[in-house]
Amino acid sequence: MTRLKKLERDFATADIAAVNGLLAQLGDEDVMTRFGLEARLQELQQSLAALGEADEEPTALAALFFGGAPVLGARGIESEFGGAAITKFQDLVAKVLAHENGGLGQRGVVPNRAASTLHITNIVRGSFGFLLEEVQPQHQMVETTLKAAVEETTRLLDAFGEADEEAFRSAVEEIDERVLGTAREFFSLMRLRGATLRVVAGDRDNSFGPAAVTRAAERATSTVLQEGEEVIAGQLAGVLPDAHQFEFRVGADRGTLRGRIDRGLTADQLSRFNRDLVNLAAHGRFHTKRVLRNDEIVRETYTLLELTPVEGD
Amino acid sequence: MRANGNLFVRNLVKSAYSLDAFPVDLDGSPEALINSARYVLGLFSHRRGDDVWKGMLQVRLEDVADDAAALAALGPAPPPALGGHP
Repeated sequence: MTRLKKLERDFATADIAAVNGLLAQLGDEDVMTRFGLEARLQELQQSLAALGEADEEPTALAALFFGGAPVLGARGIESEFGGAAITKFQDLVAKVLAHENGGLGQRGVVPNRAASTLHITNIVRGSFGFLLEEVQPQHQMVETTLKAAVEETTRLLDAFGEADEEAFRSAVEEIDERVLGTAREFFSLMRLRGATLRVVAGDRDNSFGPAAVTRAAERATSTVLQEGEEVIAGQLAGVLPDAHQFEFRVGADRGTLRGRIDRGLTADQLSRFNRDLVNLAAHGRFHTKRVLRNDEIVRETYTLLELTPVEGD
Repeated sequence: MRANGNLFVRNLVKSAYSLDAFPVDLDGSPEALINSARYVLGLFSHRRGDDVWKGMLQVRLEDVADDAAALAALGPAPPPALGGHP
Protein backbone atom coordinates (compact mmCIF):
# COMPACT_ATOMS: atom_id res chain seq x y z
CA MET A 1 0.00 0.00 0.00
CA THR A 2 1.52 3.29 -0.96
CA ARG A 3 1.50 5.89 1.77
CA LEU A 4 0.80 8.66 -0.69
CA LYS A 5 -2.71 9.64 0.30
CA LYS A 6 -3.35 11.48 -2.93
CA LEU A 7 -2.95 8.22 -4.86
CA GLU A 8 -5.00 6.18 -2.38
CA ARG A 9 -7.80 8.73 -2.59
CA ASP A 10 -7.63 8.67 -6.39
CA PHE A 11 -7.94 4.88 -6.41
CA ALA A 12 -10.92 4.94 -4.06
CA THR A 13 -12.61 7.72 -6.02
CA ALA A 14 -12.12 5.88 -9.31
CA ASP A 15 -13.54 2.70 -7.77
CA ILE A 16 -16.57 4.60 -6.44
CA ALA A 17 -17.17 6.04 -9.92
CA ALA A 18 -16.98 2.54 -11.42
CA VAL A 19 -19.45 1.11 -8.89
CA ASN A 20 -21.84 4.03 -9.37
CA GLY A 21 -21.65 3.47 -13.11
CA LEU A 22 -22.55 -0.19 -12.63
CA LEU A 23 -25.41 0.62 -10.28
CA ALA A 24 -26.86 3.10 -12.78
CA GLN A 25 -27.09 0.36 -15.43
CA LEU A 26 -28.87 -2.21 -13.26
CA GLY A 27 -32.49 -3.06 -13.98
CA ASP A 28 -35.28 -4.13 -11.62
CA GLU A 29 -34.38 -7.76 -12.12
CA ASP A 30 -30.82 -7.36 -10.79
CA VAL A 31 -31.79 -7.43 -7.12
CA MET A 32 -28.85 -9.43 -5.75
CA THR A 33 -26.28 -7.62 -7.86
CA ARG A 34 -27.60 -4.33 -6.52
CA PHE A 35 -27.23 -5.61 -2.93
CA GLY A 36 -23.61 -6.53 -3.49
CA LEU A 37 -22.65 -3.34 -5.29
CA GLU A 38 -24.34 -1.10 -2.77
CA ALA A 39 -22.42 -2.80 0.04
CA ARG A 40 -19.21 -2.35 -1.93
CA LEU A 41 -20.02 1.33 -2.47
CA GLN A 42 -20.58 1.83 1.23
CA GLU A 43 -17.28 0.14 2.03
CA LEU A 44 -15.41 2.38 -0.43
CA GLN A 45 -17.03 5.52 0.88
CA GLN A 46 -16.00 4.56 4.40
CA SER A 47 -12.40 4.01 3.38
CA LEU A 48 -12.37 7.29 1.47
CA ALA A 49 -13.71 9.10 4.55
CA ALA A 50 -11.03 7.42 6.69
CA LEU A 51 -8.36 8.62 4.23
CA GLY A 52 -9.71 12.16 4.52
CA GLU A 53 -9.46 12.05 8.30
CA ALA A 54 -5.98 10.60 8.59
CA ASP A 55 -3.34 13.25 8.97
CA GLU A 56 -1.02 14.01 6.12
CA GLU A 57 2.43 12.57 6.73
CA PRO A 58 4.79 15.23 8.10
CA THR A 59 7.72 13.78 6.14
CA ALA A 60 8.50 14.20 2.46
CA LEU A 61 6.89 11.85 -0.01
CA ALA A 62 6.73 12.01 -3.78
CA ALA A 63 5.82 9.62 -6.56
CA LEU A 64 7.39 9.92 -10.00
CA PHE A 65 5.84 8.00 -12.85
CA PHE A 66 7.53 7.65 -16.19
CA GLY A 67 6.12 6.78 -19.58
CA GLY A 68 7.22 6.98 -23.20
CA ALA A 69 10.22 5.41 -24.90
CA PRO A 70 12.30 4.23 -21.89
CA VAL A 71 9.34 2.46 -20.29
CA LEU A 72 7.84 -0.93 -21.13
CA GLY A 73 4.32 -0.47 -19.83
CA ALA A 74 4.07 -1.45 -16.19
CA ARG A 75 6.80 -4.09 -16.64
CA GLY A 76 10.01 -2.19 -16.53
CA ILE A 77 12.02 0.90 -17.13
CA GLU A 78 15.51 1.20 -18.62
CA SER A 79 17.70 1.13 -15.54
CA GLU A 80 20.10 3.77 -16.82
CA PHE A 81 17.28 6.20 -17.57
CA GLY A 82 15.40 5.46 -14.34
CA GLY A 83 18.53 5.92 -12.25
CA ALA A 84 19.54 9.13 -14.01
CA ALA A 85 16.05 10.66 -13.76
CA ILE A 86 15.71 9.89 -10.04
CA THR A 87 19.23 11.22 -9.41
CA LYS A 88 18.38 14.49 -11.16
CA PHE A 89 15.17 14.84 -9.19
CA GLN A 90 17.02 14.21 -5.93
CA ASP A 91 19.67 16.73 -6.97
CA LEU A 92 16.98 19.31 -7.69
CA VAL A 93 15.36 18.76 -4.28
CA ALA A 94 18.75 19.19 -2.56
CA LYS A 95 19.38 22.47 -4.37
CA VAL A 96 15.87 23.80 -3.75
CA LEU A 97 16.28 22.95 -0.04
CA ALA A 98 19.64 24.70 0.14
CA HIS A 99 18.30 27.68 -1.82
CA GLU A 100 15.27 28.02 0.48
CA ASN A 101 17.58 28.08 3.47
CA GLY A 102 19.66 30.73 1.75
CA GLY A 103 22.78 28.62 1.66
CA LEU A 104 23.44 27.73 -1.98
CA GLY A 105 26.63 29.32 -3.27
CA GLN A 106 27.34 29.98 -6.94
CA ARG A 107 29.32 26.78 -7.22
CA GLY A 108 30.85 24.11 -5.04
CA VAL A 109 29.40 21.71 -2.54
CA VAL A 110 25.65 21.82 -1.90
CA PRO A 111 25.33 22.38 1.86
CA ASN A 112 23.57 19.88 4.10
CA ARG A 113 23.04 17.46 1.26
CA ALA A 114 22.46 14.53 3.64
CA ALA A 115 19.39 16.28 5.06
CA SER A 116 17.78 16.24 1.63
CA THR A 117 18.20 12.54 0.98
CA LEU A 118 15.09 10.69 -0.14
CA HIS A 119 14.94 6.92 -0.33
CA ILE A 120 13.21 4.87 -2.97
CA THR A 121 10.82 2.88 -0.80
CA ASN A 122 8.54 1.36 -3.36
CA ILE A 123 7.79 1.09 -7.01
CA VAL A 124 4.32 2.27 -7.79
CA ARG A 125 2.04 -0.09 -9.60
CA GLY A 126 -0.10 1.03 -12.49
CA SER A 127 2.42 2.63 -14.78
CA PHE A 128 6.08 2.60 -14.03
CA GLY A 129 6.93 4.84 -11.16
CA PHE A 130 8.96 5.26 -8.03
CA LEU A 131 7.88 6.25 -4.57
CA LEU A 132 10.47 8.48 -2.93
CA GLU A 133 10.30 8.93 0.77
CA GLU A 134 12.10 10.72 3.53
CA VAL A 135 13.27 8.15 6.06
CA GLN A 136 13.36 9.51 9.59
CA PRO A 137 14.64 7.48 12.53
CA GLN A 138 12.00 9.00 14.78
CA HIS A 139 8.39 9.87 14.26
CA GLN A 140 8.06 13.49 13.19
CA MET A 141 5.47 15.75 14.75
CA VAL A 142 5.90 18.79 12.54
CA GLU A 143 6.43 19.04 8.82
CA THR A 144 10.06 18.66 7.85
CA THR A 145 11.92 21.18 5.73
CA LEU A 146 12.50 18.42 3.21
CA LYS A 147 8.75 18.00 2.78
CA ALA A 148 8.47 21.69 1.96
CA ALA A 149 11.41 21.42 -0.43
CA VAL A 150 9.88 18.43 -2.25
CA GLU A 151 6.62 20.31 -2.65
CA GLU A 152 8.46 23.41 -3.80
CA THR A 153 10.34 21.29 -6.34
CA THR A 154 7.14 19.82 -7.77
CA ARG A 155 5.62 23.32 -7.94
CA LEU A 156 8.69 24.44 -9.86
CA LEU A 157 8.50 21.49 -12.27
CA ASP A 158 4.80 22.25 -12.83
CA ALA A 159 5.65 25.84 -13.72
CA PHE A 160 8.09 24.64 -16.37
CA GLY A 161 5.48 22.49 -18.08
CA GLU A 162 2.53 24.83 -17.70
CA ALA A 163 1.28 26.67 -20.80
CA ASP A 164 1.06 29.98 -18.92
CA GLU A 165 4.24 31.93 -19.61
CA GLU A 166 3.67 34.39 -16.75
CA ALA A 167 3.45 31.62 -14.17
CA PHE A 168 6.71 30.21 -15.46
CA ARG A 169 8.49 33.57 -15.25
CA SER A 170 7.27 34.19 -11.70
CA ALA A 171 8.48 30.77 -10.63
CA VAL A 172 11.90 31.27 -12.23
CA GLU A 173 12.27 34.60 -10.48
CA GLU A 174 12.24 32.77 -7.16
CA ILE A 175 15.06 30.35 -7.94
CA ASP A 176 18.73 30.69 -8.80
CA GLU A 177 20.94 29.64 -11.67
CA ARG A 178 22.03 26.34 -10.08
CA VAL A 179 18.46 25.21 -9.43
CA LEU A 180 17.61 26.25 -12.99
CA GLY A 181 20.62 24.34 -14.29
CA THR A 182 19.50 21.12 -12.63
CA ALA A 183 15.92 21.57 -13.87
CA ARG A 184 17.45 22.02 -17.34
CA GLU A 185 19.35 18.72 -17.04
CA PHE A 186 16.23 16.95 -15.77
CA PHE A 187 13.98 18.07 -18.63
CA SER A 188 16.70 17.68 -21.26
CA LEU A 189 17.06 14.06 -20.19
CA MET A 190 13.29 13.59 -20.46
CA ARG A 191 13.18 15.13 -23.92
CA LEU A 192 16.28 13.37 -25.20
CA ARG A 193 14.95 9.96 -24.17
CA GLY A 194 11.38 10.64 -25.31
CA ALA A 195 9.98 10.13 -21.82
CA THR A 196 6.80 11.49 -20.28
CA LEU A 197 6.32 12.20 -16.60
CA ARG A 198 3.77 12.42 -13.83
CA VAL A 199 4.71 13.86 -10.44
CA VAL A 200 2.53 13.43 -7.36
CA ALA A 201 3.42 15.09 -4.06
CA GLY A 202 1.14 16.46 -1.37
CA ASP A 203 -2.04 17.49 -3.14
CA ARG A 204 -0.33 18.21 -6.42
CA ASP A 205 -0.65 15.82 -9.30
CA ASN A 206 0.83 16.95 -12.59
CA SER A 207 1.30 15.14 -15.84
CA PHE A 208 3.82 16.09 -18.47
CA GLY A 209 2.88 14.73 -21.88
CA PRO A 210 5.30 14.98 -24.82
CA ALA A 211 4.21 18.60 -25.49
CA ALA A 212 4.75 19.66 -21.87
CA VAL A 213 8.15 17.91 -21.71
CA THR A 214 9.23 19.67 -24.91
CA ARG A 215 7.97 23.02 -23.63
CA ALA A 216 9.69 22.56 -20.27
CA ALA A 217 13.00 21.51 -21.85
CA GLU A 218 12.85 24.38 -24.33
CA ARG A 219 12.15 26.89 -21.55
CA ALA A 220 14.86 25.46 -19.32
CA THR A 221 17.49 25.72 -22.07
CA SER A 222 16.48 29.16 -23.35
CA THR A 223 16.24 30.76 -19.90
CA VAL A 224 19.23 32.30 -18.18
CA LEU A 225 19.32 33.89 -14.76
CA GLN A 226 21.76 36.72 -14.15
CA GLU A 227 22.37 37.90 -10.64
CA GLY A 228 24.55 40.76 -9.54
CA GLU A 229 24.87 43.92 -7.53
CA GLU A 230 24.42 47.44 -8.76
CA VAL A 231 24.72 50.87 -7.16
CA ILE A 232 22.13 53.22 -8.60
CA ALA A 233 21.71 56.95 -7.97
CA GLY A 234 18.20 58.26 -7.38
CA GLN A 235 15.71 59.25 -4.72
CA LEU A 236 13.80 57.14 -2.29
CA ALA A 237 10.06 57.58 -2.80
CA GLY A 238 9.27 55.58 0.32
CA VAL A 239 9.31 52.19 1.98
CA LEU A 240 6.73 49.89 3.57
CA PRO A 241 8.61 48.88 6.73
CA ASP A 242 6.62 45.76 7.59
CA ALA A 243 6.15 44.49 4.07
CA HIS A 244 9.84 45.25 3.39
CA GLN A 245 9.14 46.93 0.07
CA PHE A 246 10.51 50.07 -1.52
CA GLU A 247 10.01 52.55 -4.35
CA PHE A 248 13.06 54.32 -5.69
CA ARG A 249 12.95 57.02 -8.40
CA VAL A 250 15.88 56.73 -10.77
CA GLY A 251 15.22 59.17 -13.57
CA ALA A 252 13.41 59.56 -16.85
CA ASP A 253 14.87 56.57 -18.66
CA ARG A 254 14.45 53.91 -15.95
CA GLY A 255 11.47 55.40 -14.13
CA THR A 256 10.67 54.10 -10.66
CA LEU A 257 12.14 50.87 -9.33
CA ARG A 258 9.99 48.79 -7.01
CA GLY A 259 10.94 45.73 -5.11
CA ARG A 260 11.74 43.99 -1.89
CA ILE A 261 14.15 45.09 0.78
CA ASP A 262 16.82 42.78 2.14
CA ARG A 263 15.68 41.07 5.35
CA GLY A 264 18.92 42.22 7.00
CA LEU A 265 17.44 45.70 7.34
CA THR A 266 15.09 45.98 10.31
CA ALA A 267 11.65 47.57 10.28
CA ASP A 268 13.11 50.21 12.60
CA GLN A 269 15.82 51.14 10.15
CA LEU A 270 13.23 51.32 7.41
CA SER A 271 11.04 53.70 9.42
CA ARG A 272 14.08 55.92 9.70
CA PHE A 273 14.54 55.77 5.89
CA ASN A 274 11.00 57.12 5.56
CA ARG A 275 11.71 59.90 8.02
CA ASP A 276 15.21 60.96 6.93
CA LEU A 277 15.84 59.97 3.34
CA VAL A 278 12.68 60.36 1.28
CA ASN A 279 13.13 62.61 -1.80
CA LEU A 280 16.84 63.16 -1.10
CA ALA A 281 19.57 62.25 -3.56
CA ALA A 282 20.93 58.88 -2.51
CA HIS A 283 22.82 55.86 -3.71
CA GLY A 284 20.98 52.60 -3.46
CA ARG A 285 22.90 49.35 -3.52
CA PHE A 286 20.70 46.68 -5.08
CA HIS A 287 20.86 42.98 -5.63
CA THR A 288 19.63 42.53 -9.21
CA LYS A 289 18.19 39.46 -10.81
CA ARG A 290 17.37 39.23 -14.49
CA VAL A 291 15.47 36.49 -16.23
CA LEU A 292 16.57 36.23 -19.87
CA ARG A 293 14.72 34.25 -22.50
CA ASN A 294 16.70 33.88 -25.73
CA ASP A 295 18.99 36.72 -24.59
CA GLU A 296 16.09 39.08 -24.03
CA ILE A 297 15.29 40.39 -20.55
CA VAL A 298 11.78 39.29 -19.59
CA ARG A 299 11.91 39.96 -15.86
CA GLU A 300 14.07 42.15 -13.73
CA THR A 301 13.92 42.37 -9.96
CA TYR A 302 15.72 44.60 -7.51
CA THR A 303 16.30 43.96 -3.85
CA LEU A 304 17.45 46.95 -1.85
CA LEU A 305 20.53 46.11 0.24
CA GLU A 306 21.72 49.51 1.42
CA LEU A 307 20.78 53.16 1.05
CA THR A 308 23.25 56.02 1.60
CA PRO A 309 22.47 59.73 1.18
CA VAL A 310 24.74 61.61 -1.22
CA GLU A 311 26.95 63.92 0.86
CA GLY A 312 26.42 67.66 0.54
CA ASP A 313 22.92 67.45 -0.90
CA MET B 1 -32.84 -17.87 0.63
CA ARG B 2 -35.07 -16.07 3.10
CA ALA B 3 -33.84 -18.33 5.93
CA ASN B 4 -30.22 -17.39 5.21
CA GLY B 5 -30.60 -13.69 4.39
CA ASN B 6 -27.30 -12.95 6.16
CA LEU B 7 -25.46 -14.69 3.33
CA PHE B 8 -26.16 -11.69 1.14
CA VAL B 9 -24.89 -9.06 3.56
CA ARG B 10 -21.35 -8.41 2.50
CA ASN B 11 -19.76 -7.35 5.78
CA LEU B 12 -21.43 -10.17 7.74
CA VAL B 13 -20.18 -12.75 5.26
CA LYS B 14 -16.75 -11.23 5.38
CA SER B 15 -16.43 -11.37 9.15
CA ALA B 16 -18.07 -14.80 9.55
CA TYR B 17 -16.47 -16.69 6.64
CA SER B 18 -13.44 -14.59 5.61
CA LEU B 19 -15.08 -14.36 2.23
CA ASP B 20 -15.43 -11.37 -0.06
CA ALA B 21 -18.93 -11.96 -1.41
CA PHE B 22 -20.55 -10.40 -4.46
CA PRO B 23 -23.94 -11.88 -5.22
CA VAL B 24 -24.77 -11.56 -8.92
CA ASP B 25 -28.13 -12.34 -10.55
CA LEU B 26 -27.63 -14.90 -13.28
CA ASP B 27 -31.15 -14.30 -14.54
CA GLY B 28 -30.87 -10.52 -14.37
CA SER B 29 -30.15 -8.27 -17.34
CA PRO B 30 -27.36 -9.62 -19.57
CA GLU B 31 -25.61 -6.27 -19.64
CA ALA B 32 -25.48 -6.07 -15.84
CA LEU B 33 -24.03 -9.58 -15.78
CA ILE B 34 -21.26 -8.66 -18.21
CA ASN B 35 -20.47 -5.43 -16.37
CA SER B 36 -20.39 -7.17 -13.00
CA ALA B 37 -18.02 -9.81 -14.37
CA ARG B 38 -15.80 -7.07 -15.76
CA TYR B 39 -15.72 -5.21 -12.43
CA VAL B 40 -15.16 -8.29 -10.29
CA LEU B 41 -12.41 -9.53 -12.59
CA GLY B 42 -10.60 -6.21 -12.21
CA LEU B 43 -11.09 -6.21 -8.47
CA PHE B 44 -9.95 -9.78 -7.88
CA SER B 45 -7.20 -10.28 -10.42
CA HIS B 46 -4.43 -8.20 -8.93
CA ARG B 47 -3.80 -6.58 -5.61
CA ARG B 48 -2.18 -3.17 -5.67
CA GLY B 49 0.11 -2.65 -2.73
CA ASP B 50 1.70 -6.07 -2.53
CA ASP B 51 1.56 -7.04 -6.18
CA VAL B 52 -0.24 -10.34 -5.59
CA TRP B 53 -1.84 -11.79 -8.71
CA LYS B 54 -5.07 -13.59 -8.10
CA GLY B 55 -7.34 -15.69 -10.24
CA MET B 56 -10.85 -17.05 -10.30
CA LEU B 57 -12.16 -20.54 -10.20
CA GLN B 58 -15.64 -21.90 -10.56
CA VAL B 59 -17.13 -24.03 -7.80
CA ARG B 60 -20.58 -25.51 -8.19
CA LEU B 61 -22.64 -25.66 -5.00
CA GLU B 62 -25.75 -27.38 -6.26
CA ASP B 63 -26.00 -30.36 -3.95
CA VAL B 64 -24.39 -31.98 -0.92
CA ALA B 65 -21.76 -33.72 -3.06
CA ASP B 66 -20.65 -30.33 -4.43
CA ASP B 67 -20.46 -28.98 -0.89
CA ALA B 68 -18.30 -31.89 0.24
CA ALA B 69 -15.96 -31.55 -2.75
CA ALA B 70 -15.59 -27.81 -2.14
CA LEU B 71 -14.87 -28.36 1.55
CA ALA B 72 -12.24 -30.97 0.74
CA ALA B 73 -10.55 -28.62 -1.73
CA LEU B 74 -10.51 -25.76 0.79
CA GLY B 75 -8.87 -27.81 3.54
CA PRO B 76 -9.04 -26.74 7.18
CA ALA B 77 -10.70 -23.42 8.03
CA PRO B 78 -8.33 -20.43 7.97
CA PRO B 79 -7.77 -18.40 11.14
CA PRO B 80 -10.54 -15.83 11.45
CA ALA B 81 -9.94 -12.42 9.89
CA LEU B 82 -9.23 -9.49 12.19
CA GLY B 83 -12.42 -8.38 13.88
CA GLY B 84 -14.14 -11.62 12.84
CA HIS B 85 -15.86 -14.13 15.06
CA PRO B 86 -13.60 -16.61 16.82
